[in-house]
Amino acid sequence: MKSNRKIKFGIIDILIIVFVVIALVIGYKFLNGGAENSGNEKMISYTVELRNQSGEYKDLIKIGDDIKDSIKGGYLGKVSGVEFKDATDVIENKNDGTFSVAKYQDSYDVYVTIEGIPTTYGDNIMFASQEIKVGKNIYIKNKNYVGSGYIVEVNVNE
Amino acid sequence: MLIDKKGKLFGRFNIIDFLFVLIIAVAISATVYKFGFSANKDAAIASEKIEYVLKAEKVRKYTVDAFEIGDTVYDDESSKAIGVITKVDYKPTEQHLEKSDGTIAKSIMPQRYDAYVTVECNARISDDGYFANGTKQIAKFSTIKITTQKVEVTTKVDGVNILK
Repeated sequence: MKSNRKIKFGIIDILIIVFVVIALVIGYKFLNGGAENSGNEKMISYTVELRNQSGEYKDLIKIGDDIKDSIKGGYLGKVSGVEFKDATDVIENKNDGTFSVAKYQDSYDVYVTIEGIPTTYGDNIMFASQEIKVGKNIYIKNKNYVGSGYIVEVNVNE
Repeated sequence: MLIDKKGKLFGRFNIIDFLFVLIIAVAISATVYKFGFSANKDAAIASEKIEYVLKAEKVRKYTVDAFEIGDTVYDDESSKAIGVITKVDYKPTEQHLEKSDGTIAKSIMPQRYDAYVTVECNARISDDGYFANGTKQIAKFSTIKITTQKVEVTTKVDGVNILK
C-alpha cells in the first residue's frame, strides 16, 4: 500500500540543515587550519649532521637512498648529497685561558642532505609528522643504516 | 499563552525543535567565540608597536643563517605569532674560562656565536609589561623558545623599545 504522507520541510528543518552545514564548514576549516598549502609541490632539501661517526658511513650512504624516520616511521625524503668533514670539538686550554678546535682521529661529522616534497608547507615544514627546522634533532634510517643528529640547514627550492 | 495545547510555542514551533535549535545556536556561538573572537581579541587590543631583540647564545653559524628578515616568529609554547624579524646580527661568543693558575679569563669560543634577532610587532603595553600581539609578555632577560618556518631555538630577551 502506498503511503500518502508527503515529506514537508518546515522552517525548523531548514534551520537545522543550515546549522549542520555551517558546523561542517567550520569544523573542516578548523581541522585543516594548520596544514596550509598542504600538497603544495615545493621541493625542500635539508641537511642532517651526524656527529663523530666512524668512516664506515662512507660506504653506506648513497645518493638516492630513501630515508625514513627511525622512530615514527614516516617518509623523510631521498639522500641528495653526503659530505664528510673531520670531526672536531672545542677544547679549553687551561694554561693560557683560551679555547681551540681539536680534531678527532678517524672520526667524521657526516652531513646528509635529504630532499623531498613535504607533506605540509606553511608556518611549519613537515615530512610526515616530523617538523623540519634547524636545531631539531632527527632520527633517520635506511635499510642499511640508522643515524641521528641535528638539522643544520633547510632550503626551499622554488 | 506561550505554549498551546499541542505543545507548540507561539502556536507554531514545536518545543523540542525549538530547544534543539537553541542548543545548536549556543554551541555555534561558543565555538565562534572560542576560536574566532577570543583568538583575535588580544591582537585587537595590541594597539602599540614595539621592537625587541632576542639573543640566541652560543649557537652555531647554521642557526644564525637560518634566521631570515621578514620571517614570522612564533612562541613555541603557545604557537602564536609574536612578530616579524627585521634585523639579524651576530658576534663571536665570549666565555669565561678558569685558568690553571686560578684566575678567570674571558675568551672567544670558536665556532660559536651570539645571534641578535630584532623582532617587530604590535603590542599591548600596560603596567604589567609589554605583550607581543597582546599575548606573550616580552620582558628583558626572560627566556622564550621561538620558532620560525626554518629554525627552532631558545632565546633571551635582550631589550625592548617602543616604536613611535
